[in-house]
Amino acid sequence: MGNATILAQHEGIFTFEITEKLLDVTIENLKAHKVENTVIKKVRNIYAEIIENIQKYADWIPDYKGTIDPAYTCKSVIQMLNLSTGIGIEIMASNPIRMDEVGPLKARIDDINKRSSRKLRKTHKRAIDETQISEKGGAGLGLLDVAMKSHSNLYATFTKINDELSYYTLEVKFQFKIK
Amino acid sequence: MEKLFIEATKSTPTINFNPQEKYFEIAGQSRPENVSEFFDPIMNWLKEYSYEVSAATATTESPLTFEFKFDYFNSASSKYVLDILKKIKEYQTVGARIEVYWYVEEGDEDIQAAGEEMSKIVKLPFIFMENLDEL
Repeated sequence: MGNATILAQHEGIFTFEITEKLLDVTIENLKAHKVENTVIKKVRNIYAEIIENIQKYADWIPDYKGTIDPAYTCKSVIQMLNLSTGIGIEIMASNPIRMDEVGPLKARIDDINKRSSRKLRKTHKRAIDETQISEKGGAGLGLLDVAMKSHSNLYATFTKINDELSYYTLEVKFQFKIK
Repeated sequence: MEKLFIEATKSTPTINFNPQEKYFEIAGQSRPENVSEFFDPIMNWLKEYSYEVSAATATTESPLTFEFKFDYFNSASSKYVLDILKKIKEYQTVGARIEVYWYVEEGDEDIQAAGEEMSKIVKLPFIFMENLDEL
């Protein structure tokens, strides 16, 4: 395992503007490391999907009536690892979610991880044709998209904050071989 | 019918729909802050245009040319891209000649795969083109 370079990170509320800034910084840093364009695009696309998810699914936090320990604030880190065979990318994103969302989300992630690339494509094809855009502006396709594009499993943990909230952390790791 | 032109931003694509020239182009990135707010007017325009398609273009020789030149679209936008393609399919159903060009930057397997997937769903053959735009 080689040295890790943080490409971008943020803690706090995720707005559209912050998402834009994180994507810009990530692209700039990858360019500075002379990473090829197709790889930069791929990383940007996966990272965009992950941080847009935080933006959409943590938008209730400003209206939350209780208090949330600052340790459970929304966070995201993307880092690059120089490997002997190429480069590795690790993305970690965390945000509080409502306790009743834990079961369905965990089930969805487990289901995605069980599927082969070919089956993921089939599921995606059906889902894109059948899903409706939610009130939050999502199509519920984000996690499927991330798994398909990264060709890797999604690692999720859920830590209880209190009776109402759980702290959801998603990690995705993928690599690009040197040609 | 009036043209529809929406200038690109960093997170939304150019929309250049020119019914007089039968040329319809979408180009750039699509990850709008509010996906419905961006795409609903486009869907409404296409719905309105469908009345012209059935009345005039169905019998003419020249095709309606649709060019999709995406650098990237997020998962929420993908639903709307598919809706646009379904609308185009409806034009074909009433007799219009349709050509769909789907541009792919060299090595961009995700845009290529998305095009293939959508082409199958709407049962419209796409003409895949190489696009060399920089990031």
